[in-house]
Amino acid sequence: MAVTFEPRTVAFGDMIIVRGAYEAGDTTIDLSGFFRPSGVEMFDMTPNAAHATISASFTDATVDTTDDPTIAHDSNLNIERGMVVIGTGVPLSSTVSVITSATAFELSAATTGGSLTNTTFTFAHGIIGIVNVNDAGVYFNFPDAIIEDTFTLADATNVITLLSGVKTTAGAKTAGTFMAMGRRG
Amino acid sequence: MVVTFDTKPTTFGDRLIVTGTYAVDDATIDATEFFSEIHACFSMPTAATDTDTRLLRDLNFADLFTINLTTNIITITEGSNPRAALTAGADNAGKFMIIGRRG
Repeated sequence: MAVTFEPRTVAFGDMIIVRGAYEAGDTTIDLSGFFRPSGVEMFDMTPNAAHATISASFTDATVDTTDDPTIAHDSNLNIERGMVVIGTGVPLSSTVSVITSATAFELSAATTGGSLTNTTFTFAHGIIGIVNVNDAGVYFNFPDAIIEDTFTLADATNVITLLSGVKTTAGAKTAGTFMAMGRRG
Repeated sequence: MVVTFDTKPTTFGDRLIVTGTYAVDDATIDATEFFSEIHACFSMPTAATDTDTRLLRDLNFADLFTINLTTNIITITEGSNPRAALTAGADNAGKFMIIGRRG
């Protein structure tokens, strides 16, 4: 993890352009050595890849049920708390209430139909029956989403903070290059 | 709610760089007095916009700038509100820089 600066900057008038690269996990880019205080006027980053694609829904055909809220499955890190679950023996409007591990979660209700092995569940991001959210009580789904890293500027110190698009992950998720332009120090 | 332009723009050739600041809920940046054509506008948010944690994962978004190529007016839209229609106006204050051809 290291931020690197290109050795040759570009200057015109009282402006300067600084370029460089960052790596996955980098959390800040300190531009204070190049710009006057509050001098960064523009910063842009070009990630090497979009780091997360959130799909509207997916299926898992390794699910084991036992007439209980506890659900077992082969390792699947895409299952997340709050997802709507549809499948054999799953009561209507059930959601993932707790992620226990990569191979188990708690459903919001007990399944029915006895013990099933390697049955298929569909998982979807969305809400069922929430009042006062757009169309009250109507199934609300999401399109697939591609998430990129983003940034914020501490204006007084000229320090850029790199943020993963997914908030729970600190720093940049993928490596990339950057360019900053502003008033010279 | 007010957009301010810095007093000393930078010129090179027939190009111009204008910088300034915007505040929470500012919905447009009207730079028509400076430019005949805008090539790019960059936003420098001071904070990320957070989504509601009841939906999906908790995500970071920045406010969004769009340019009307006919009027040269820049529109600021809140970075994300997945539960409703797009919300006009910045969710966080920030700086901006606009590059274009002088008017």
